[in-house]
Amino acid sequence: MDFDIIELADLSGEMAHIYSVTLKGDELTLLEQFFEDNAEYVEELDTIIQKLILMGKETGCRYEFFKHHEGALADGVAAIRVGQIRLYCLYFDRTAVFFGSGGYKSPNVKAYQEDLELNKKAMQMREIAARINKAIIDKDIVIDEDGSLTINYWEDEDGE
Amino acid sequence: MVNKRKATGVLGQMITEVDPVKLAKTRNRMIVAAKIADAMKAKNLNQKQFAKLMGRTESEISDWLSGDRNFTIDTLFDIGQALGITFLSESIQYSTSDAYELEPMMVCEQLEDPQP
Repeated sequence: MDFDIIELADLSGEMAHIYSVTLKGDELTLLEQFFEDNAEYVEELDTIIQKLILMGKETGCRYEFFKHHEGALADGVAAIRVGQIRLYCLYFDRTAVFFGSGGYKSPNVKAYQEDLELNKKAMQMREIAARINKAIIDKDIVIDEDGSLTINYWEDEDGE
Repeated sequence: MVNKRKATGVLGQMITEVDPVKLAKTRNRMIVAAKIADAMKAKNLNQKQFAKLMGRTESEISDWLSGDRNFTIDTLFDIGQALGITFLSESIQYSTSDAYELEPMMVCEQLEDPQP
């Protein structure tokens, strides 16, 4: 999966950097696309924005604010839950989180794997997390103590 | 360096329209959750142990720590008793008029990392 990492300036702050990704050929980040796709859930989206603003500028992305273990073993995929809305992310630490997409989880569904659309979003986040995690291990991406990110090397998977 | 830009579309629009009162309420919920988490850490309590102490399920504790929970005063009191912390100011300040004024109810001091 080819994508670029984007920092969202109006959500990031002194306490944390809020990142998302744009898939190759897209203009919107996955976080922005998530808001387009779920615009009917105004109250939930509003709460998510408030939480992201406060995490960026005041509290930091504290571990307990997220539901963890939403991906593969120890891959850092987590979710923000507001009502029945799930927003998937790669949780790095209190200073840096990479947001993907998500959606509505029916109360009749126990796990996202039972919902085709939500499962697709979660699996997409797992793929993104795998690539970012590898880049961090290979030091192609360096995340400083304050959550700021330096990309030393990043190329499309087809080598472009 | 990574590309940095302002959010666009529905997200960008909604960010500009955030209600400061709602934001303050969300802030209180997140700060209370953070304060509980810090106190648990200071007492070396994991979620399972804290759930047992409070007579609650782990799922409820997870919900408490998510920053979404609008606690009742009684629940905050119970948590405070268990963890040895205070959420509410207990004093009432009388003004010069006949009416009295409560001190700000929520104690939302600056967050600090708990001492080991």
